Amino acid sequence: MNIAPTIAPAFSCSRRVMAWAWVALVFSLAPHLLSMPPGLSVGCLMAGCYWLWRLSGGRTPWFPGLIVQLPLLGIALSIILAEHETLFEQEASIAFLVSLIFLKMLELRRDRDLYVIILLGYFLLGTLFFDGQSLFQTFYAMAVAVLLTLVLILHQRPGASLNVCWRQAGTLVLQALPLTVILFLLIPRLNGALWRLPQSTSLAVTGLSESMQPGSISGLVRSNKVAFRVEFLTSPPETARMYWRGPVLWRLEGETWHVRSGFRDVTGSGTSWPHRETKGPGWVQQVTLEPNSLKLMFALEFPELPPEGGVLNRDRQILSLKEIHSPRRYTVVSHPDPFNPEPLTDREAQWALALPDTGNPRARELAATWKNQMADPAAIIQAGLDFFADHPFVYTLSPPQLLHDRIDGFLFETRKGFCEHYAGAFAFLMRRAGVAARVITGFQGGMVNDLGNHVTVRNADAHAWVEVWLPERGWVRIDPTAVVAPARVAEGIGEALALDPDRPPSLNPGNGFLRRWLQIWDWVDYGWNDLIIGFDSQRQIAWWTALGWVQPEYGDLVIAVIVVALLFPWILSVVVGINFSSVRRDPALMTYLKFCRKLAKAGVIRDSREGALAFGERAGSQLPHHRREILLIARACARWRYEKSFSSREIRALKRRIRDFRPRHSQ
Amino acid sequence: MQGIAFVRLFKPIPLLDVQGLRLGHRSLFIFPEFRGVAYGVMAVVMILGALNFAINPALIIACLFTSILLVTLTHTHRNLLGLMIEPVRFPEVFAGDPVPIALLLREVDSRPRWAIGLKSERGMQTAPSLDLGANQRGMLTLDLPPQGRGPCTIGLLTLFSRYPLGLIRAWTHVAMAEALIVYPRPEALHADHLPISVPWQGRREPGPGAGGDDFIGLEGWRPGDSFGTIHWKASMQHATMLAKRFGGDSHQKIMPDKTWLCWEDAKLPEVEARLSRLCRWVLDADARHRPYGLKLPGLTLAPGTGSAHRRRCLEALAMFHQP
Repeated sequence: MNIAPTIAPAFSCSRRVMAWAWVALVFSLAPHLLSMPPGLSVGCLMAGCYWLWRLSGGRTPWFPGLIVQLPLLGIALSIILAEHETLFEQEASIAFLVSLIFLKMLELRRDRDLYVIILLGYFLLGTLFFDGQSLFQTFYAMAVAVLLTLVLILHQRPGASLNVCWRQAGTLVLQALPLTVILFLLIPRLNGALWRLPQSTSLAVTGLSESMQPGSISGLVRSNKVAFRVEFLTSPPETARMYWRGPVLWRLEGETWHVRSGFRDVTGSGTSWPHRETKGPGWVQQVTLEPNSLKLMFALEFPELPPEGGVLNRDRQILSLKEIHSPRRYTVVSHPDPFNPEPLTDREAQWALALPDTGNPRARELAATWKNQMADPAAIIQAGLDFFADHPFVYTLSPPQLLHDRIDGFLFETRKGFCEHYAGAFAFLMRRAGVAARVITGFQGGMVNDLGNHVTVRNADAHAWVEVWLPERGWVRIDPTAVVAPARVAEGIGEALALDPDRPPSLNPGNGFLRRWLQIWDWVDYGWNDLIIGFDSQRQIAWWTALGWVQPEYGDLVIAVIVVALLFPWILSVVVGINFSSVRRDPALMTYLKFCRKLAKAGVIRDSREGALAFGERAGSQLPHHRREILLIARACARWRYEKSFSSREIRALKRRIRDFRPRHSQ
Repeated sequence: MQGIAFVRLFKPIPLLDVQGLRLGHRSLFIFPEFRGVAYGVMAVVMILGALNFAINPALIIACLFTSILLVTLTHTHRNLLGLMIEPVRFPEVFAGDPVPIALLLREVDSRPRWAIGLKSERGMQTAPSLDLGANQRGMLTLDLPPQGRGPCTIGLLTLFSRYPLGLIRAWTHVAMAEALIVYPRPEALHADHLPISVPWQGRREPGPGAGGDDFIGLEGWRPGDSFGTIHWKASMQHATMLAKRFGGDSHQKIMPDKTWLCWEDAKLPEVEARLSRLCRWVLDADARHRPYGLKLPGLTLAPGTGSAHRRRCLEALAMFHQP
């Protein structure tokens, strides 16, 4: 008999608990510390480290009173206000909360303080996702949740070893996971926000912008961030035809191309534009869009109808009706053929031919000769493309810097450029030669992932090309880059820049193994975005409908959530109450019970109080012609259970003997 | 606790008698602590926030926190469910001593139980928490504040656990079936306090306390030993229960002469002081293994020996002029 009383201090935290609380909180707050004003983060960490140092030095941590805490709080507030100017903004309020937690930690002494800061630690894990919703972040939050749970367990069990407490924390979280999944599937989603936190107005996302100057696209190519992923529901086009349309640039000011003013103004065009007779099946795409600051929903050229939540404008871009703060999913059908229902308006013709008043005289001169020699716009376009083909142009990520008359310098001297140089210069030449032209930025190609059967388009796939207006055909895509570097369009940016010394390492084709892993990671990430982040109210209803619960109403789901939450503890206690453990752990007992089952079939049933030897005697007398065998087995079973010297050879022999034991019924 | 007194209507308070009792579903209560409610509110706020901003990963984390709370409910409940509680015979308690309460817990379901506490209604006394391994026994002890002589009101005891997270509390109320009687405080020893006028017959011992049963040390307590021999204080610091052993047997075959301990002989003005002195005499006489009788106004106990006789005498003193 063992009696192990353990004394738990009821109202104070042990040093072990304090130290682990520190670790858990630093992990919980680390992502916020990184994004807070640096002075504040350093201050918080210094306070924490000072506290830890006192703790590890064997001294009781010094608990500062209000005289110290209030000035510290004042300093924290002033740093936050200096940075954000208000406290009622998402980042500012999180920074304030984090500094409060660190101050509270300085006076961690009683268990009430511990619970306050641990609960705040749990809460702040949720705010982690304002900055991103990746799979990694979710796993991180779960790991920190285990850590926070561990702290509470350590506090409840001061005497237990760390290992045991870890296991308990892990058990709790693992048992909670099934319910987590059910709740996630059941909790009804809101359509639209009930309240909004004032947010920093600009969404800082690397990506395409509404203007293009030399260097802006090549700068993007260095970013490996995913712009969107596309799953084709029909057979996909070959890479060379994958032009993902982004901002349409009309205005050339100096060296910079801009979108036309009011391109977001869709009144008059609306969602019904353009109507067209369908030519062929088109490409049906399911796009999972990552957040972008342009409010643009990307699709292959040329989308037929806008998806839900977007409108199609005259530039044939899909504009989102609201900000794209989180990944969004939509289905859109595109047709490869340009189709123009309406002629150019006068204003559009004027825009599409406008040039700055001065600059780049040589280019103007070249285009003027084409205009004089050829009347046919198609011939002029061909002349322009031939110019790129006939001269030694080089496709490179880092062309030489030019100071003024950059188009002249590019066309006649350096002849090295990236797609924005080719597109910009070509549109300039066309306009001067009298052909209406505009620059299109967007993406070209993408990584085909055969695991997920989807195409991943990254910032690195950013591209620029040109559209020219032919009266009989409408806007026609011309890609001058394809003339200079056919590989760019056919095989992608990595191949096109294979010989470029300045190629960023992210574009290295890499070996097959690495490539495979990147594909797997991309596939997992896509699955996460698609299945978890994209699980909105429509998919929720569709999911339950597919399971047989047809069109659950909002109220039904709420009731289901409550019922499941109330039932789960009972179900769990029934499941864990089934005693699998004692028998399964003892192989000797298992073997013996197998022997008993065989005897039971032969009519000799073991009494629960009967020992192996006594049972063997009784069974032997009831089945006399098996008596010797039964006694042998029973003795061996007893020896296995109670003698340490029972060898593994004997165990094997015993198991074989029991397996071969076929008692016949006594009569 | 008081707030859910109405629950008592539905769940009878188990009465703890010698047979002990096993904690079943019917006798266990479970309710969140204030911090558990705070945790739940936090989880719900997180869920609402995640829904509002349509952040599904945050919703997963918030659902996980909710689920952890619900899973904890099961764990806390099962931490007490199925425990066997057995009463421990009260030791002799004299007025002015703290009243030691002890419960013997037995784990019979082959799973460890953690951080079990014992609390009394009276004065919110709490015992240190107890961890029990699978199929182990353990003792929960609690000292109630000292009392005057007479029947002692132990009141309701609460056996509780907040394991694993301290957010939820499971408990059961236990009422002791056995009554506890607090004996009068024995007077401090002085030779002249001996009952001189008592017709002490036969040989007189040189002084009090030099009698037969000497305390010779501590030994492991074995089932079958009297609970009265358990040395609680020492047992608390050991892994096993310790029992007092007596030896140095000096039963010198003294002829059992009869001694009368009389109310009149204790010549003190106050009733309580007289009872104190009588109590001391009873203890001394008992220590000498000599038959002794007790004469109180209106009550006479015939001379006898042994622990039962001693208890009868002490109880008579304790209940003297008590309702």
